[in-house]
Amino acid sequence: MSAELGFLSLLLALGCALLQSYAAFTKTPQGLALAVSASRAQAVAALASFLFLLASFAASDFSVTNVVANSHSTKPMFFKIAAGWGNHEGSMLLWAMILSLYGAFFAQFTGRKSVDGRFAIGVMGLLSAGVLAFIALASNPFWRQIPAATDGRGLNPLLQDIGLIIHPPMLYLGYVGFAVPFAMAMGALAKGTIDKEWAKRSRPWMLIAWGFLTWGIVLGSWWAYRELGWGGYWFWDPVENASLLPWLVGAALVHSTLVLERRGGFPGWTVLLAIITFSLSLIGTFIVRSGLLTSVHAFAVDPARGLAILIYLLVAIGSAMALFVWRAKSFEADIHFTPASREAMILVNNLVMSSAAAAIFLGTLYPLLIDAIGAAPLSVGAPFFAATAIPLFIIGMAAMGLAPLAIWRKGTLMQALGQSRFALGIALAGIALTIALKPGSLMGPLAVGAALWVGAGTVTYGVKQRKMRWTLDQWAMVLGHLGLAIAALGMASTALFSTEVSQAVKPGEIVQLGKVQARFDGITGVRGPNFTAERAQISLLGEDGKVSRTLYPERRFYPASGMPTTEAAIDSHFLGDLHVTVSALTEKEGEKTIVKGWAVRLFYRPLIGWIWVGAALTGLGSLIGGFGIGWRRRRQNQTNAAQPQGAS
Amino acid sequence: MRALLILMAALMLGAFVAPERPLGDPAQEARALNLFKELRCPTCIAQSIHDSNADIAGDLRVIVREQIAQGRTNEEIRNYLVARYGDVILLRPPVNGTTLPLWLGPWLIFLVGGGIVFVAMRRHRVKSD
Repeated sequence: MSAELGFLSLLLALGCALLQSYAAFTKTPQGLALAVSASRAQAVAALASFLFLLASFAASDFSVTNVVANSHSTKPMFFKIAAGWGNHEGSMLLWAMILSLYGAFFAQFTGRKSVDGRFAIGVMGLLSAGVLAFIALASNPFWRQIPAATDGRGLNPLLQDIGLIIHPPMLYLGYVGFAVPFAMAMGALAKGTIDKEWAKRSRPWMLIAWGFLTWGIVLGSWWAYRELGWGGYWFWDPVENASLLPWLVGAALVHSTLVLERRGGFPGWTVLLAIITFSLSLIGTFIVRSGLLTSVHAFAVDPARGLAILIYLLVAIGSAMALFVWRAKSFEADIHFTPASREAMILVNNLVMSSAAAAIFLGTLYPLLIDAIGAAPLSVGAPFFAATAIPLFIIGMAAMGLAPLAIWRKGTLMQALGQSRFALGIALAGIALTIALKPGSLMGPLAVGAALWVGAGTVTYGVKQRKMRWTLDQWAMVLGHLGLAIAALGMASTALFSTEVSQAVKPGEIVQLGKVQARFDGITGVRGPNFTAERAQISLLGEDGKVSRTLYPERRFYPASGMPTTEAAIDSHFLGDLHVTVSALTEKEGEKTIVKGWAVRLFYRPLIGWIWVGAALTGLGSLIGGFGIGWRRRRQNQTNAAQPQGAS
Repeated sequence: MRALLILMAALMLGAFVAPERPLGDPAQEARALNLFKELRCPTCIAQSIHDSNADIAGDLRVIVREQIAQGRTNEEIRNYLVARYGDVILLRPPVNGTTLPLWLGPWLIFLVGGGIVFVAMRRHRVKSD
């Protein structure tokens, strides 16, 4: 039953979405009230639809095609339910549900308060209607099959991980969240004017979306570190790049909106950034879900559906761009500022973020382009992105360390630098130390210097402002910038100072890596809930020769999918991680594969944990800013609304 | 030649994984590790042979280490692999006519954007008051 109820809820949500946008575009007061109610009903229906899908997965209803394809009776309950969104159809429904939720909250708290907001409610309804119609027509997760299957066909075992279970919802909260500033931008364009009020109303939504997107990316990277290969945390894989694009442009957007809010500057540019950010979010979804770019993430490849998504994408982006070209000319701002003012620093941020996004966009699509024109295939990988994006980021961070100390409008370089003496000293010391430790590298010392410069600059700002009562904006900035500095230091340190060793071993043999001594004690066979594994015991020896810790890396085999996976064992510390994997040395003799021995790989990655801690802090800062500012404004509005009543 | 034989043997036997041993000379081993990071694992999507645990990545690591031990330069090893797999083996695309837009595009945007910002800033200069 739950599959039918789920589909009915989906259709109901679609109806509500259409009603919502129709009512919002009619110019009557009743229309607005109806649109807000419809947005609420749509959210409830979409949520119900998603829960009905999860219920089918929880009950292992093998008459539902999607459950058969993506679940298995032997899976633990937690992973059964999570399989509901670990596939194409389910994840599209999750996407649509999140869009509906954003739509309802936006209509309630922001949309109904202004003319452009009202138009935005209509746009949110149209965006929802498009996705819901696509799901109902081309990507129905509730499809039944007769006869029912006896069991499911499992799920990629790599996906059975807590990091990957929270990763898609978090990422989608980010991607989809940018629909709100997109809709607000359309509202401003339709209205024909834009002002500081627009920025005040939109910025909390941007911060919320950007914070969730940051967390989503962090979770994905943490998952890759623990599950894929040998502990790389970022592969510059097309799908990873796709999530980085809205993150970069979104970072430009939250900053340019700040200038619009404070000084009324960059209105046209801000609206354009809002459109591009959501467009890139859509393209990110499209790239993952169409299989256009083959990648490790393309677990569901279906070009026909890709075409439907592409049409949706062209209509959404195309109409937004057309509206922009038609109306944005009226968005003129005449603001004045010096080359070392806060505004100028934010412009450097915008420039760097846009150029980096362009580099990643180009690098990701270039192999396809080359393929399309029939030239010899080529790869664009980590060395290209590192060579292009890292120098840009270093330039951006040079401005970032200075920005909080630069004053609005008429800051001078002397004034900002005068306050940055401490930061400058720390950064130069870091550069010198890195050169001493790792001679011959150019970008490495500069990256370390840039990270320290931003970190120390942010601390300087905090110390200078310590006697004030901080606004939420200040908290958001300090946490965000500090987190980024910590993450950048972790990345630079991992790139510069990682060490590794791989060695064929016999039981009792010791593998040495720097000061680390790891003894291979042997292999035992173990059985998990839905896999079998060969588990190695690795004893880490202290300086006295005694065992200080024991690690158990595994080689797992999931019969349901026929895939072997490497489970690393990680000994995490504040200053770095020891990452241990074991692999079998095999030889084929005729049809049989014979295990000839074992090899152990040790990696030491200094400060790698700082990457996730720092980036998570950045996301937290953004979320505190977004939710906090939004909440305060709501309370203010309530008191403002209450006062005249009390007076009368 | 031996490398080619190993590669052919690996391809024929499918799952054969030669035991990987680091090179005795730490400087040579460091060179090998850096080279691994530039070479794409042919059966993977975006992973280098340094990051991948696919069998073919292991075979290529053996070949690279052997050639380094034989005293070949990085350039010679790259050329050797490009001759067999094409440019697609290199994660850093070579700079040539077809890749010029890729290498220059981002910097062009940065410079043109910077130029526009600079000109706009001069036009909107703060009146000294």
